[in-house]
Amino acid sequence: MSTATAVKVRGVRLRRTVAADLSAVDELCAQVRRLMTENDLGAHAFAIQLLLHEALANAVVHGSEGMAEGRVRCEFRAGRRWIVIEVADDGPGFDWRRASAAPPEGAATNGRGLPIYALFADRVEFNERGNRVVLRRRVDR
Amino acid sequence: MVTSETQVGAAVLKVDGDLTAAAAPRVRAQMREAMASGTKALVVDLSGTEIVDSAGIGLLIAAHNSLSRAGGSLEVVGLSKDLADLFRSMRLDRHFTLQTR
Repeated sequence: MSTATAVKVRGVRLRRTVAADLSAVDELCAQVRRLMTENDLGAHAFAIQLLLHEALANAVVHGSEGMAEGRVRCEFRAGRRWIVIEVADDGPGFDWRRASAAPPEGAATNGRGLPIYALFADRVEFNERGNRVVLRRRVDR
Repeated sequence: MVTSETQVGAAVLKVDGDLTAAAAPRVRAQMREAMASGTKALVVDLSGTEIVDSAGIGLLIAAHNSLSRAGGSLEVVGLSKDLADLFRSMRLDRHFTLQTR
């Protein structure tokens, strides 16, 4: 079950708390896709969908691992200058200071989440614990 | 998911929808089935796919690794410009062939 608050305050905003489940991730990404289309943000659709999928999947797969009823909180907002994605989970976080934003060398099967953030977001910020990420992308990029 | 046999040892897998963390288990199972049935040259068709996240990319790399060990190959076709740019940024073109739509 998800609780939802959608509020328009000086721009576009969607705030959701969803179960830590990958099907909920797809549903939420689809909602954001529609919101962006309705608000003429289609030029950023690919980048935002990718950033959103990455951040939410990380929160579900890594941030909520082992939790019987994990919850993931997401806020999407867009103003005149910035599109912002915030995703948080209740997990232990990770040591983001030691993670690399460069694509892995060789045929490694993981390690591309942070490089994707770096490629499509203009600013990437983690909280101290590493269980909350804020991704910002310029509208005029 | 549609799989078609083009010639002995070759197969085309057309992915329905986005190749993301949610879809990865299903697509992985289809790839394994293709390889278990003798496929050495696997073509993954992403012409109906808009988004491939890091889980999807990891799945393609894993398929490439498995096929390479067996003397086979992976080709990814039907890429949008956005996906092709993403794949090149992630250096996937160093490992397998990419074709745009």
